[in-house]
Amino acid sequence: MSDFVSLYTAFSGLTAAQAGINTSSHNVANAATPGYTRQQVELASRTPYQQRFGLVGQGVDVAAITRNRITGLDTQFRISSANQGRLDVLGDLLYTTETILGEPGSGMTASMSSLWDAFDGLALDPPNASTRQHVISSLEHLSTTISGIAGRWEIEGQHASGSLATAVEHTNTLLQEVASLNRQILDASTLPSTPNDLLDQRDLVMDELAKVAGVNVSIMDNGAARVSIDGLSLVSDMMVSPLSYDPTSLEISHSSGAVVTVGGELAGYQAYLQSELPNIQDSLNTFARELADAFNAQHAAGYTPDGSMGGDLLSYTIGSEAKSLSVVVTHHSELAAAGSGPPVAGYDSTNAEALSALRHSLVADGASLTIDDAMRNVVSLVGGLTASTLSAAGSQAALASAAENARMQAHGVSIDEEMVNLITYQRAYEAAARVMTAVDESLDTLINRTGLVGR
Amino acid sequence: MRVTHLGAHHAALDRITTRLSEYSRTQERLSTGKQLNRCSDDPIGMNRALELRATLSAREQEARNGADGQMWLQLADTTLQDAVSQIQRARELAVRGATYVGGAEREAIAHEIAHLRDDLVALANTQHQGRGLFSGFSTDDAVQKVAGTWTYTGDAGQINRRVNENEVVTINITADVAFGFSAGNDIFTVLDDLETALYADDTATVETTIAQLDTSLDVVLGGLGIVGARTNQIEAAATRTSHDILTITEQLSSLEDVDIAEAVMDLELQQTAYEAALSAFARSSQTSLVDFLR
Repeated sequence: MSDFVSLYTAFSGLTAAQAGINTSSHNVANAATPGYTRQQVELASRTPYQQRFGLVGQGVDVAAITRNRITGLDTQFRISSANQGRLDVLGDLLYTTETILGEPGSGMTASMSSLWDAFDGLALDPPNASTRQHVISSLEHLSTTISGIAGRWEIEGQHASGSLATAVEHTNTLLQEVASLNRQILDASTLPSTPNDLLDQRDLVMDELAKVAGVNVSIMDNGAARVSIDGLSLVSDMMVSPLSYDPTSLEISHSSGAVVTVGGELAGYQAYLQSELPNIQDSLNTFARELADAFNAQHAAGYTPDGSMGGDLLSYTIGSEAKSLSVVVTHHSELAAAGSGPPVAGYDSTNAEALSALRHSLVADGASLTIDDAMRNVVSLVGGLTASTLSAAGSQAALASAAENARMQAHGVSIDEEMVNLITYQRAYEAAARVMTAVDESLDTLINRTGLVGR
Repeated sequence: MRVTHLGAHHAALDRITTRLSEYSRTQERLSTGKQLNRCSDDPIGMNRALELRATLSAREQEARNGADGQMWLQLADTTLQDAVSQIQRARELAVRGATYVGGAEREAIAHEIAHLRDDLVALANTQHQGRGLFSGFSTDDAVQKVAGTWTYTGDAGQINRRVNENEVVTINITADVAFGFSAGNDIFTVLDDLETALYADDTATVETTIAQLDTSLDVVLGGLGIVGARTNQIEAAATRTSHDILTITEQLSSLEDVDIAEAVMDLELQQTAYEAALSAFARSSQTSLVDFLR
């Protein structure tokens, strides 16, 4: 081998040091980029060549620039982020649902308690037009409070359904992005090194996908990402099978037509629409029906001042009892405060007393609860659900944050480390340059100063 | 363990946010003065609080019912006391009329008896809040002369007041009972008879009416006894109710209201913790190797 070989050896050192400096500066520049994975130069010494006296090294090669990604941490993060997405959405929806109840202070328990007082007032002074009118306005207040709550819950359900439709569309957009990144990555895989920055971008999109839809992600042998749900493929290489949402059945289905069980935020909306909200609405409907039935039955046992039997106080439509709850009596002369008749004694308040005594009667929930108890149970149901969801969301947020942090610690850029690397490469560069000078000087000695003996 | 700047900042931000949210929650509790601002703050506590509120509102209404009942019973009591003294006076007059007195004096006695009877009719027709105190549910006067006969023109309606969850007190007594109509010996007819007998100088009948007056007095006194017993019942219930109201208000307050001293202490501690987290981050984030390289 020629003597010039040492020049090439030194040159390979220069190139390697330069690659190191470039990579470090790329890392530092992306220190705050979301989803960025720190990159590292993989160096390898070149194959030595055989000399008479042994093997001589030929310098260094940049084998690859790799990214330090630990897929286990990604999986962990995505699982907890999907759970967090679900609980956050559900918690927010339930929080609004609870706020609509207006407890304590401005909700139905307050209107209920003023209605009881109005019945007692009627019992104290039955023929008084203003106490009678007070009963009717208290009834109206109670029924509008209950139907108002039911109406706003229904609107809340429609909002949630709209958000779910948007979230499904967002998911489909993300699936498209994964597919197009898959294409770019597959195109780039013909090149000798890995497309690190594209991989980072794809990981970021898949993080978002996990949070929104709780999908499964795996990397195929060719480097393409496969996104699937319930074992059905959503993205395979560049093929996208989008999800669709049916607002009537509240189901989400795969493009093959199969109904899929989603996770993440989609699951949060779905859980609210399919189980939590209907449960809450049912409990209010049952309560409204029992309330109206109990009042109507007692009122029908009494007599109005003109001697006719009491008619219905409240009416409702079966199926949407709470929302349709309305007051039937319009004029105070239709109130049946008297207990016997006809003729009706002017101050007969027996039925008004009986109406007010309903307060303590077990007429709700299959004759096991008082009206107040049943009403409180509705409030507690909503409050309990909200509290448990919010507290689960809180602990899940801590888990997700810990997973995110673990990932940042492993994948993120440490400025100190990059500075140390920079110094290392800078010194290596200087040293390689010095080596070049040394070789150059020895060659100078050989070429210009050799063979001049005796000149 | 490997530590990166982004990771360290993320963790620090997490800690600072946690501190701040604790701090602002305590601040909310202090500024509203309420421990429970919504049901999900404490579902069990809120359930209990709503139950207590419902009970409190029932007890308050029962206290109002009791106060109303007490008014009725007090008025019935004084009215019947008056009736007792009128009947006693009538009996005295009857005793004098039964002994030999002059014709003029006998007429004067008869005259006063007529007065006493009118007084008693007025007492029996006493109004309370615009309605007959002794006429049950009826809007009519309790006692009227119908076709020359004294008649009870009210009805048997029992006015009830709920004074407790399962205690109802009847707060009225009808003139039918209190003035002897139901016993077939009403005081008004007796006094009419007495007046007629005095004018007619019929000593034997006057003496019979003395015995009838005694019976009437017993009837009214019996009515007074009933009123007294019910007053006692309603007062005992009122005492219990006001005691209940006090207890419930205390329980409700301990459940819903913030312990100011404790909350202020919490706020101080959390403020210190928050500031410590801020200053720790401010210091640690300032330095890196870059500061020491030339």
